[in-house]
Amino acid sequence: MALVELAGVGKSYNRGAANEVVALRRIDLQVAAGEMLCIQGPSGSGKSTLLAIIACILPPSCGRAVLAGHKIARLPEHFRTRYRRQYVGFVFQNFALIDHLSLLENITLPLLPLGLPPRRREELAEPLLHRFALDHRRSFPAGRLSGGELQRAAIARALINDPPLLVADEPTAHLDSRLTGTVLDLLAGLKREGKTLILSSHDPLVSGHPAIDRVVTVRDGMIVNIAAGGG
Amino acid sequence: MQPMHPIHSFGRIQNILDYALSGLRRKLLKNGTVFAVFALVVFLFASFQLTNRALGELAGRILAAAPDITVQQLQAGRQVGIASDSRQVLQAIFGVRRVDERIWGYYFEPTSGANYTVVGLAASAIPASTSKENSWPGPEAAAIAGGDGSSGRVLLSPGVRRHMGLGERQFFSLYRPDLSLVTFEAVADFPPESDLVTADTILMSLADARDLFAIPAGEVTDLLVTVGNPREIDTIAGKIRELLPGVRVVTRNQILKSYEVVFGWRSGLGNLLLLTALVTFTILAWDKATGLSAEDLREMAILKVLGWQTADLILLRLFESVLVAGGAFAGGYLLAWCHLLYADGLLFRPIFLGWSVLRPTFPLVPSLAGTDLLAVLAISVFPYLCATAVPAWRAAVVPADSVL
Amino acid sequence: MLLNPWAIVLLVTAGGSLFLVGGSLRTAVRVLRHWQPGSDSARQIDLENQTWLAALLVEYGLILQLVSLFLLLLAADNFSRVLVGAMCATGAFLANPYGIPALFMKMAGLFFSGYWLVAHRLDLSSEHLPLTRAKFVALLLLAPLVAVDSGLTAAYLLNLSPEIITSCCGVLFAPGGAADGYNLLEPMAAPLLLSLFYGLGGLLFAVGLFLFRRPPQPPGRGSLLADIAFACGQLLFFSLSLVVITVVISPYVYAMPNHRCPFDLLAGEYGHIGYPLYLSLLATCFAGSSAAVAAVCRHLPGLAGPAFRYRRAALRFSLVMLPLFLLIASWSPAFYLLAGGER
Ligand SMILES: Nc1ncnc2c1ncn2[C@@H]1O[C@H](COP(=O)(O)OP(=O)(O)OP(=O)(O)O)[C@@H](O)[C@H]1O
Ligand SMILES: [Mg+2]
Repeated sequence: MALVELAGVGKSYNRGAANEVVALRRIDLQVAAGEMLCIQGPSGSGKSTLLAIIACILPPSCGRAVLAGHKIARLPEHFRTRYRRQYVGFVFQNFALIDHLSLLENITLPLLPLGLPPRRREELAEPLLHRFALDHRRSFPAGRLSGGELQRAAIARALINDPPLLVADEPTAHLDSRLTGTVLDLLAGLKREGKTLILSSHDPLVSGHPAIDRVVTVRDGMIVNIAAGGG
Repeated sequence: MQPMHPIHSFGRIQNILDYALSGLRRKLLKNGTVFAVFALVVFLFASFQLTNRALGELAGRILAAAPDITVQQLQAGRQVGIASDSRQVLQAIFGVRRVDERIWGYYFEPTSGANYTVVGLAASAIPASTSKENSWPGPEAAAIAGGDGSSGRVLLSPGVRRHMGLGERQFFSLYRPDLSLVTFEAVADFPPESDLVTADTILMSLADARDLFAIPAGEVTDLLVTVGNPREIDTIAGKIRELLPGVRVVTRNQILKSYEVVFGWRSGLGNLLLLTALVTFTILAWDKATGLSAEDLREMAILKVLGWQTADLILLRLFESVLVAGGAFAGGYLLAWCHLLYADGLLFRPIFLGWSVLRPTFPLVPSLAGTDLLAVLAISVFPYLCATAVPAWRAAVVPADSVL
Repeated sequence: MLLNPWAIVLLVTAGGSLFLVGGSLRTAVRVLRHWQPGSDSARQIDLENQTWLAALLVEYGLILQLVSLFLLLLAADNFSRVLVGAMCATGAFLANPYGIPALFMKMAGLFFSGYWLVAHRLDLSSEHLPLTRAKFVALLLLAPLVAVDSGLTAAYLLNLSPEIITSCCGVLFAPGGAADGYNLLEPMAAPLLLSLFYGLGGLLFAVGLFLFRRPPQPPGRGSLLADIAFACGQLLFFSLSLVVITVVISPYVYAMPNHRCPFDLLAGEYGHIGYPLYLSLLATCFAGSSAAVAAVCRHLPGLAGPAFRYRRAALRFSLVMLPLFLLIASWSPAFYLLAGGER
């Protein structure tokens, strides 16, 4: 069964207001569990919007959207947040770490409203810190980390809830080609563990990575092409 | 599929509280000013309230020892001696249990510049000590009794003893109006607990007081009426007015209520002024709370994407307000407490000054009353929380996608 | 009397309540005009956000209502020391015709905002937000309630004057004092009141237990009526209890046959017994009657589960608090009768 199903999904920002912007029109897409998908397209084509809808951050304006068997199209916000907590790890385009918090605090932020005590939070963060080679930086304020470390921290934070789906918006946009390779290998490792990954990028290095199953091309808010990837 | 981690509601509150605390610590300067101003407002309110209550309790204690009805003779609108014979008239009223005579007055001692209150009572009239603080000492009082005659024995307050420089000595002398000397023997001191009431008092027998002030026989300063049933006090007071024209009849209740009214009015006026300060402060707080920086908004949006609910974020902002307000409340109240205890309510004493005619000097003792705390809380913290509710909400509903 | 510090405190809290409810009223009007569930239009998103604000304000309002009820009792106690003839809070409340209505209005506001929040919680637990419209219609009703309450409080304080002579509980509730027409509760004899009190209490416990034990019923008129009848019974029990506490139970607490006052129970001289007594009564009756709110909503989309769970929890809570209340209420009289004298 598909983990994500979108049928006829469209999205306009500021709908009903004077500054209405159409960002997506009629998107049909299915993502199976365990798949690794890359969404590419020029700037402003609606990649981030599409990811935000899949990640239950934004409600679609029309169409049908299903995540792990739950309809997410016409949900009040607190229900979307509930499903996001449960199923989705989200990696921001600009990392979005909170500068004045330490790396460890940043990574465990999603656990706070769940009521986990500090000890348990650290237990959950420990293997991730180790895996992403961030052990030695755990109490650094996030504002003083390097670009590669920031990106790895952002991925670690998205994984702290152990979600089945990881959504990453341009995970390599701020990295050089060597770091891009490392991050992609990390993500490929997650795929091997059974996670579903949906990335966006306009970097051919990403869409050409051997782990990618399918490459979806978006232009002007529509899917113009779906091609098999390197995987 | 079940959520991986069920929500622990207690842990959630704890975590959000922790997060709020660390946020406050980081923005120390901004929150510090709000805190300081708020604490000042609470301090003003609380000092006011505590001073008021301390004075009220003082009055209550002193008046608790007061007789049910006091009868004084007026002549041309001034108080003069009342004939002892009126006693019989009062005694005859149905419902009156006892009538006692009292002679009292001020004795000015030029050497120390002190004004003592001399009270002369017949031995039988000295009330047995009802509770530790409020009344005359019972057992020692017997010592001054010399039947109804003159005994020369007195009770002193430790304060008077100190002022006179008596030390351990027992005998001292006072002047009659004609400057002849009377010698007294201080047989005992009032217990320190009764200091509030007896701070400047010399208690002696009626005959001795008459002798000291040279008051003619058959006259006393006032008559003290004890009534069997407290509910009948007002009725009996009315009868006395009819029977003895030209006297002033004062019931204990009248004294108490007039004090309450005066206190209430004065403190209300003060509160009104303070309320203005509070309003100003609330505007300041509103201003501070609404002026969310772009960085704050970004943080809220990130938290939202990471799975924080709007309710969590509202709770976070609420905790920030509660911590500031609660801390300032505790700090301000404590400060007010010290102000009263160590500075004797320096700032607000003048407002209540009318009171000091009754007793020239008195120490103020703050007392912790839950109701007062609640009142100050209601007037300071609640308006602040109401004012911050809207900014808190505004921060919490920042759209999650604004950070993408 | 407006300058009395307690009066100022009361006016400030009344102002706070008005501000809170006024704020949520604005939202209510907008929601009722423009609410479009499922839409993602800019306006709808804004409205959804505003519903959070309204709920937050009502939550604050509820707390404020509870505190101001409490403050009103304390203030009346304080006024009684200033007013001629008043020896306890009863006298202070009777000093003008607005005191008692203000008190009852506050209680009504407390119950109403409590029900509102129950409905709000239920509404949030369904994806379809089925109660939103109803919730905001109810808010339009809550607002005048709070406004009237604030108005009555202000009128009470405004007309309170130390010169006016008022009467006291001793006069008011004294047996045999009917001559001056002041005796409100004389006609009801104590045995009758007591049997009604314990009878209704026992009945409510039995019915509550039955409703609690019963497996989930298909939505139908019969079971709904049972829940509503139970809620009405709870509210009746609330009023009856206030009367019984005043007339029958309080003299035993004071150990004075003619001192009948519902307010002095809160005083320290009597071990603050009034607090557990009234709070357990409030808890019982509110929880018990709020189960009906859940029962009314359970046929709405997505609410069957949450409504059933809430109703069960509320009934359980009510069933625990009811015996506790009866125990506290019976303590002083029972002790008096068994030990044959004062504590
Ligand atoms: N919050 C918003 N309000 C209004 N319009 C928006 C908003 N976010 C995005 N848009 C518009 O929606 C369209 C799609 O934007 P989106 O961010 O999804 O594109 P993108 O493919 O991610 O671009 P980029 O590669 O630059 O990140 C753009 O025209 C953009 O201007
Ligand atoms: Mg983008």
